Amino acid sequence: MKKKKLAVIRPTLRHKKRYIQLQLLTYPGVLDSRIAHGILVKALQKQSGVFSQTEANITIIDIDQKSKTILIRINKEYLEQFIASLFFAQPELGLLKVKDIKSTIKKVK
Amino acid sequence: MKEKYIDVVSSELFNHPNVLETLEQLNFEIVYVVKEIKTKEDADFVFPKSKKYRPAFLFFDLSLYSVLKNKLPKGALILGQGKSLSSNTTILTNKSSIHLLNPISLETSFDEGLARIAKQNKKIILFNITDIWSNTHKTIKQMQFIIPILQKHKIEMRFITFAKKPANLIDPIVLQEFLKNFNLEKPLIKRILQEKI
Repeated sequence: MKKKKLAVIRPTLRHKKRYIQLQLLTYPGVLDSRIAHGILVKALQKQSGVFSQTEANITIIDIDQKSKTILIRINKEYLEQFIASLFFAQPELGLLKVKDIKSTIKKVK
Repeated sequence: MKEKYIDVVSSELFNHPNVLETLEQLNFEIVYVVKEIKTKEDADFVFPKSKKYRPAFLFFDLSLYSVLKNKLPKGALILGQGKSLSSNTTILTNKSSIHLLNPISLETSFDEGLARIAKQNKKIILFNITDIWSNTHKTIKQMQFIIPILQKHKIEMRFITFAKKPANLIDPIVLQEFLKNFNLEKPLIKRILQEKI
């Protein structure tokens, strides 16, 4: 039986995303994607609560060990809360710098 | 054009390598370097020589300030450490331009009366924002109480890191968003983080 092609969600109905490039200026060790994700999720939960954290859908797209940068995807509506939550992530990740915020992954890379 | 910010840091920060580069990366236009004054000899501290770095002194004891007053460089930022109701009152009632660093203490030690005095004497209240990391609940609760009073009386306030190591500095973009938690409006936050003291 021929597989039926899944219907594509219309762009207007999709969640808008933002791509954030973070630079870790003082983190001493090797960056691990799972550890970084855990810290960022915990920080957002501390800042905005568990429901916002779940809906924000934080995803780590890429980690560059050389330049110590992390590329993160997040729902557009939670962008400001996420940036504010970096304040709580700092004791564990060290000094964080928001390098870039863009609407598409192409623009940020 | 990138926006430029200010911060107040400890002189101990400059004992760490690559600090100047880090401060540059965070777009700080002016950085007040605070030397803590515990003895008379501390006033002889040599500050980093650059237009970007401005001298500042932190006094724990105001009697020492009256002794050293004439020895301090002109235009230096003078701060008094607030740690109790009595120290906050002493600093705010002082007629000279000595500003209050951290009105937060074990118990709430700031009220409408002190705010009126602070307004009269043109004082600036500086909050050490990194205190939130070590004592989250108490600091946030007291800040939520004090900030509306300061706003009501139109008293100048600043949020600083008083960083002793690079990891304690904060990206102004992060701080700008974080301060919205205290019901401060965006234009006010921007001014607070950018205007010279």
